[in-house]
Amino acid sequence: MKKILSILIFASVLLVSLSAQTGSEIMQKVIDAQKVNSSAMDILMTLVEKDGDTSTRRIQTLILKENDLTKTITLFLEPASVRNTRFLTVENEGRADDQWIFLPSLRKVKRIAAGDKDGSFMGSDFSYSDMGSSGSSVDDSIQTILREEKYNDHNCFVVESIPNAGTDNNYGKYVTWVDKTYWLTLKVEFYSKAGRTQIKELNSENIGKENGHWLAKKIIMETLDSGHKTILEIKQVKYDIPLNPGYFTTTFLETGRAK
Amino acid sequence: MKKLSVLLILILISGLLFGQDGFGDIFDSEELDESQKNVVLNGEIGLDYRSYLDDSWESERIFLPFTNLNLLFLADSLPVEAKIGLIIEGNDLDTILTVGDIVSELSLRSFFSFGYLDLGLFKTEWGKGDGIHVIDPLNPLDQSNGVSSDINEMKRSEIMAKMNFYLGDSGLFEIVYNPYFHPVETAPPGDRWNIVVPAYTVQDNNNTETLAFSQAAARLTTTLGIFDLGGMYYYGYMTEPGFKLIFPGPVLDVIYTKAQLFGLEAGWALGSFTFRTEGGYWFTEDRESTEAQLYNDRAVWLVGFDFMIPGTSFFVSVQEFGSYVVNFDNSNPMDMDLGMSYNDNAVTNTKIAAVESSFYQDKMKIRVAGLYLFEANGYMVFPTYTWNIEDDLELSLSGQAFGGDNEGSNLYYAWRDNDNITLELKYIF
Repeated sequence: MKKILSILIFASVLLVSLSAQTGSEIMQKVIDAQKVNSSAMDILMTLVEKDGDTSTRRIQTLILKENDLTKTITLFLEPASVRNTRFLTVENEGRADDQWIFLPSLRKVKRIAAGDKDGSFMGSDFSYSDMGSSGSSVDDSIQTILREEKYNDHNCFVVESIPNAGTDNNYGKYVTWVDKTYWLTLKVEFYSKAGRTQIKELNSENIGKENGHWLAKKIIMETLDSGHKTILEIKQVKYDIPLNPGYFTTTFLETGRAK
Repeated sequence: MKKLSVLLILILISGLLFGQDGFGDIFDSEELDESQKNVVLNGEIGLDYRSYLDDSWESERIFLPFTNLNLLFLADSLPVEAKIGLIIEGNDLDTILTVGDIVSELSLRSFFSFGYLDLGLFKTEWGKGDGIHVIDPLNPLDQSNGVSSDINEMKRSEIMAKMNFYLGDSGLFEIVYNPYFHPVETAPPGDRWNIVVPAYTVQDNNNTETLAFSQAAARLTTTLGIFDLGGMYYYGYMTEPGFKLIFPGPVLDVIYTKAQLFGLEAGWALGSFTFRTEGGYWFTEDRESTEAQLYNDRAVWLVGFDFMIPGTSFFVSVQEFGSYVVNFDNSNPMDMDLGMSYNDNAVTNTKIAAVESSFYQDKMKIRVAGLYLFEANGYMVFPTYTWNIEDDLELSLSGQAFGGDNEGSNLYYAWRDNDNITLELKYIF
């Protein structure tokens, strides 16, 4: 769940960690293009059943970088069953992230372990690890640039990433389309742990520029087996804005107010 | 009439207070939706049907409408929030309601630069345990309707003043004053949820809703590295009543034991595991165990952990809590500690475990929770199946099973005929 911003580039950051010089340069450009000191996003998530039935989730998330470490606070607004749930993640140097959750029904802040990487994020087609980016290293995968081709009128690099044996990963292989102009991830194919069967597909749409940063304002993740889709729309985004550090505290989790 | 009074209070307060939820100071207001209005009304409304399985009681089937309303009044521009919680159940409609029957919370929270003040009728939860605590003395349990898988639901709201002082980014120092005291509430004799039928008439001449029974407490919590740590102190009374046999009559006179509780708590995450511990010591006015009607000193503890089974959607939680009565006297049959013990044992140990898993994009959830009291073979089992038909519409089928040895005040034995299943449909808004 942490670092919602990174969903826009996560496939590249997580999956296309190129060891080859050319690939590394490409990835560095992707990372540089998305590098921010802070961000705020208002996100609408629409879950689409195979038969077309839909339901929505709404979250707001703030991200603050301090000393190259990231703090993320996420506020759940919809549906009613999770409204005003607040989730705080604090990245640490040399040890696992700290995570706390505030459940309004209990009015209590609880520390939780980051154990549910495979689980569905709010019933969506995104897993918790899909929504995060920490804990992965460029050395965790072997990447191969397969080809260069046009995808939806964008000139792209197509990169295959295979996680190293022994690394903690939900997938066995990824194939990623990276836009050559904006250095954005436009499409990702996710493969099973055996690496032979594609299980999910992500597509980015509505490419636009906000506060000097290119981003996809609409991302669609589909689980191919079930036909279930999740459409993630960025309703509002702000980059490099001053954020009160008081938002990123357990005190804010408990009270909903920054000091 | 009292219902009308409550509604009037709601209307008046909603007219006076305003505010906004979400990060309203960051995002443009035209994008704010229903969930970010100044007055937040949420809750549940639904029906449940409970059937008891045992034939030894008169057939009892209940079909209850229920409403659980929460109104939160927020104000970014004012340093104050107000919250009102109402619980209305179908069986109450046939009886005369008091405000206390339906108001589960009526509180104000006022913010200052150095902290915030909670004032009114509310519940608070102390300790790092998951639902269960041994250092959480401020809200007594209400067992008159049996037991719930959410222990917090069983707590009785209390009138309190609680000042919370900020200590850095993650520390908090809380000071609480409870003007009144209420003991643990149990069902009366004849009720299926009654625990023990006393041999003599019980008389309680204590008026605990006076300042003479007021209580005070303090708690300090902070985070150090991977640890969330805390310490607490409570001065008041033990919530379990003591009894003294008085002649002529004879009658059982209710006496409450004055006590102080010192407690420590810690929670930390390591890998996929979250660990939780609590420990405490009750200093009572019967430290030497000379007064049979009073409770002795007692050490209490809780240890537990939870984790997600790797590669699965199964979440597992295990906790054990217990107590040890100091200077335990098993020679006096009138001693309260002996009467409340199991198999004349100074120690009690209870283990709680729960496993839950979600399926189909979190639309379905199965949870099985169980409790086992070692000293009396007491047990409770709570299986629950939940189906989120829609995001705001939930259907659940749950069960409760009880049993144990006929030993002391073993409530699991006392409730052995109360095995039941409940079907519930609720709309969440």
